[in-house]
Amino acid sequence: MTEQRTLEPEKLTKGLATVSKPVKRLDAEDKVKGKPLFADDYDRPGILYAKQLYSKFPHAKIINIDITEAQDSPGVKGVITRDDIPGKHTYGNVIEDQRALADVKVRFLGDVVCVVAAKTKRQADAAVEKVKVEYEELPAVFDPREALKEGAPLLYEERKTNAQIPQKVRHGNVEKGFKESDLIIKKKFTTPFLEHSYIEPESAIAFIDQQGTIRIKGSFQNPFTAREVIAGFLSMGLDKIRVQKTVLGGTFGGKDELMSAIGCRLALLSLKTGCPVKTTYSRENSFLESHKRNPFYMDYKVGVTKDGILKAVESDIVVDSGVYCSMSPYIALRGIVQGAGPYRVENVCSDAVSVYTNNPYTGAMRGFGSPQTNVAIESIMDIIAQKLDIDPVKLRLKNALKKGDVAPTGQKINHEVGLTEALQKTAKKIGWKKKRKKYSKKQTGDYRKGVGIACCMRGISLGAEGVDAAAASVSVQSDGRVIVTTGITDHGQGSQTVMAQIAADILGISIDRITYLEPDTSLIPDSGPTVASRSTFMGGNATKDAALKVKKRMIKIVAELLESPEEYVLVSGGRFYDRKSPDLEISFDEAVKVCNNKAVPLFEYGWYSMPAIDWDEEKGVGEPYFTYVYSVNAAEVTVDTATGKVKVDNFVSAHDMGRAINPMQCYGQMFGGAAMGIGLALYEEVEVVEGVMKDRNFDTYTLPTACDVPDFQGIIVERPDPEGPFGAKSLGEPATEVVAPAVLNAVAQAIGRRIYDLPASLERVLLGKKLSKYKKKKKG
Amino acid sequence: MLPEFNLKRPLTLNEALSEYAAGSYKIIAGGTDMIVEMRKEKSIDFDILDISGIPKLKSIKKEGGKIIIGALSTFSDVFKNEIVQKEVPLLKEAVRNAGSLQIRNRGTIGGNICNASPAADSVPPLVALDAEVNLVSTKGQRTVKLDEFITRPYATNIKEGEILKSITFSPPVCTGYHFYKLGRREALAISRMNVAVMLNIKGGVIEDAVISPGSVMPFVGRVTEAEELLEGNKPSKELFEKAGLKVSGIMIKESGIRWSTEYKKPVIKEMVSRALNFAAGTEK
Ligand SMILES: Cc1cc2nc3c(=O)[nH]c(=O)nc-3n(C[C@H](O)[C@H](O)[C@H](O)COP(=O)(O)OP(=O)(O)OC[C@H]3O[C@@H](n4cnc5c(N)ncnc54)[C@H](O)[C@@H]3O)c2cc1C
Repeated sequence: MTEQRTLEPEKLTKGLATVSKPVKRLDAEDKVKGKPLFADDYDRPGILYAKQLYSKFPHAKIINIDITEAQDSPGVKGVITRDDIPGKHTYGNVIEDQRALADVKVRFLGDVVCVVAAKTKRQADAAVEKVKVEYEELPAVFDPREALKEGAPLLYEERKTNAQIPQKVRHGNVEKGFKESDLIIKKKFTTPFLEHSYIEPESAIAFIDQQGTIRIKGSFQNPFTAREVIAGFLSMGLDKIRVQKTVLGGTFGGKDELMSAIGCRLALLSLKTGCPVKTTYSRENSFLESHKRNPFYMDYKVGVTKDGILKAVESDIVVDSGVYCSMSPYIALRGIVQGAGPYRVENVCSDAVSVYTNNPYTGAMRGFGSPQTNVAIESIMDIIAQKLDIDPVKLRLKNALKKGDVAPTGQKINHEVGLTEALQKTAKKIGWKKKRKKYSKKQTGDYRKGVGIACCMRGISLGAEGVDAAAASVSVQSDGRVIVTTGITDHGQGSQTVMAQIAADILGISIDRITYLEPDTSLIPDSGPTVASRSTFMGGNATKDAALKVKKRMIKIVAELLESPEEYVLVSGGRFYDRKSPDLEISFDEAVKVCNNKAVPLFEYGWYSMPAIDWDEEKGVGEPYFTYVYSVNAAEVTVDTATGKVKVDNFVSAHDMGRAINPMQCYGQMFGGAAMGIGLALYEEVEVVEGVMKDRNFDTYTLPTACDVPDFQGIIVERPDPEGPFGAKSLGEPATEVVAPAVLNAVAQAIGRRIYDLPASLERVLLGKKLSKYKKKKKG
Repeated sequence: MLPEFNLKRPLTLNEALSEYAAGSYKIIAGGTDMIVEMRKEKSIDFDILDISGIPKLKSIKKEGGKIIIGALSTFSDVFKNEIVQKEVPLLKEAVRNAGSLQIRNRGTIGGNICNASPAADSVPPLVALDAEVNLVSTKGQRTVKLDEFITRPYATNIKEGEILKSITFSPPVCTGYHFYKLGRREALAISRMNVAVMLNIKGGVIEDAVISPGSVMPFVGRVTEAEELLEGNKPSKELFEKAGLKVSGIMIKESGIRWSTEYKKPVIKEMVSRALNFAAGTEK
């Protein structure tokens, strides 16, 4: 692993002790020692175990549910079905269509009809088998393109269509753009269902505390969302539901809606039985019931002049949403907003529609729509480069957005853009010029090599996807130690450490004085979900706000004490001092004592809300995101043309992330993200045949292992954003969203043929098509 | 969840054999296949006889010119064993990449053979070595050739009450060997196909050739037609390609056209030819 970093001589971080430094993660040592408690480690006296019963059909009416035998089964304390729901039956962020317990219909094989709670897991397993469900099977639809057709079976009859909320981007006039083009490329691309593959499957425990509050601890990515869903389901106040996220073994967008459903079921069962109730999913059930990455069916048309200037991008995308809407419309939107690349394209006309099918539902997964569209646009960029005989890096440099340009959505780019620098540095690092030239000469033998590059822009945080605000609290204790909390959850990305670094540097103390408390929905204001790579930007800004407020108060007192003007008083290295006469000083601890004696409150809540954005969903124009991260990835591969096996030999990941608050963690994101992207490019697919999931464990769902990825190289490019905490933007999703096209472009150079459908498996690379052992039923 | 079961763990072979004869048992050694299978069941109607505590079945030794591998030897035991490393590096190479380190530390050669998966990595090299399996029961002993012992994918002709005690073979006489495993990834990969080859080249002529593929034919065994094609000839890329083509042709003859044939047909040809080139030192 090698690292390269350009540190701008930057006033913002000068003299800071921890920001911009590779500070060790606060939780590193404990994690290495196996100390953290994950959800399944929690237990309580008198605990019951829950087990859910799944649908037998991909689409059927539920005629009757008979639980009598299950209820009388040994050890059973409670059984819940649709008839037991005290409050709302449905939930959903965009369309309220999801159910913790199936109602009149089941729509896929992962729908839960009934849940039992029993004294032992075995008893729960045995009892759930005794539930008798009478179904009336309904015709089903498994291809979103079929589902859009007139007469297709409807998942939600009342909606009268399987289409969800169509999304569009309109900019300029594509017809004019194509007229001005010398070359027009039309291509189709597809991506499959993907599993998040978090190592810890879903798990939670619910119980009622002495105050009658329902407490739920578990592997929640988004505790506030879950709390709201559970409160609605139970018809209880938000103050009476307390959701606490335990240490997460990964989520990547996955532990969201399903965790809300699990929370509902456990909470209801513990209300019904008066006992604590717990569940931990098997890997097979985690695969079955959790959402997947959305398959995209993409039709692209791109026009370019003979000099390689992009003139028009038109795309038409159908997104398989499966049975629930989840975040699919916004995933479709993100896909097209970023789907014309980080380029100056004057004419864009993109449409994307997410569609209900009887497949497993799909939703957020690291990247959120753009990993799919990046494959399309960045593959086409290379096709153009080849047809026009322009070097792919040069072609991208020609079109790369710069400050002052207009982005493909019509948004004026008013911020600094590190894209050109990232492109140049990446090309240099991978040895682009020499290798590209060498590999484009005729290669002989079975092993062929190629290099590929790809780039993208990523709108940070939620933008047009929702209201965006977050809270933090900073509380200085009487001994000078500090407790920091934010409403942002740490999934393993290391956000605790980032928040602690920010608080430490603002308060001018060392990071080991800070304890970061993981949030609990009753102890910190709702900060929205921890998604969209928003942790550092949103949580960091909220932390900064809280810490600044406390600091200001302390400075006022210190200034009086030192008889210095407030604006002269600074704090760093654990002491306050007068910058004009640095001998005038007082230690941080001393200052705390003085403040305490004067009853000055040394705690504060911080709050940050995103600057306004302006997106017109009807017209598909405006500023969908406040600012962007710019990313460039490059890959070098060797393809065994006799077996179709691809080996990634080298990989460079470069990002303009504004400011790397913790460079070490940034490399962690980049390298983990690259591994995940290599999975999308070469290995991973959840095969779903007629609604039946064929891959339900890691024996057949092929993740890349450490032996399948190269020594990654990371490049940090810093163009600080004036809004970001110390200039930081974000990195979590950029790190994975443009990996696949870099790999695919390298493969295309190596074999002289392009893969349009993912993953580029052995068979696709060798034969240009997928082979499947599962036969689809003949139609008609 | 793993269904409930009764378990006996005898510490001697005799104890194990009489227990096995008396009850309704299935044997578990390393459990890396058994546990996975058992987990798929809601309940099981047999007891488990855990033979992993019988030290006698774990040894690897050479006796009377023959190498004897105890059935309980794990992939790791085999990999690290000096006799194997020195005299049958082909077998060492074959177990090198089986599963993961954890699997190699638990999974046994006996289990690999008795489970009889077409993708079993130790089987093609052992078949290449003309290995025999030694089976014992309360009724006595018998020795069977490995390629006759495994009858079809996931089936052997093991009899009721029999335990696989050891595997025996003579150290090979060969000038070169190769084990080629093709998986979907570099580690923790089940063989899509594999092949073990050995060549004995004397005076520039192939005297003996052994080609033993896995996950290719509906049975385990050497591909004699392809071997004969090599014997008596000078090693060359062209010749090895012909042998590969032969194996590919026989695969189609024996297995018919299946969903995977379109892929396997060209690839097994290449794998065989590459393996032979490696073995002959005419590297591709
Ligand atoms: C994650 C994973 C990866 C794997 N990767 C590979 C791989 O790359 N290559 C490969 O070849 N295999 C692989 N396997 C399969 C497995 O590890 C091997 O087949 C292993 O050799 C089985 O040995 P065991 O001792 O664990 O067998 P067990 O599971 O204990 O037994 C397997 C079968 O053999 C029978 N049996 C075992 N010992 C005897 C005996 N002495 N006498 C009679 N019957 C007996 C058992 O009754 C059972 O039917 C993998 C398995 C897993 C879980």
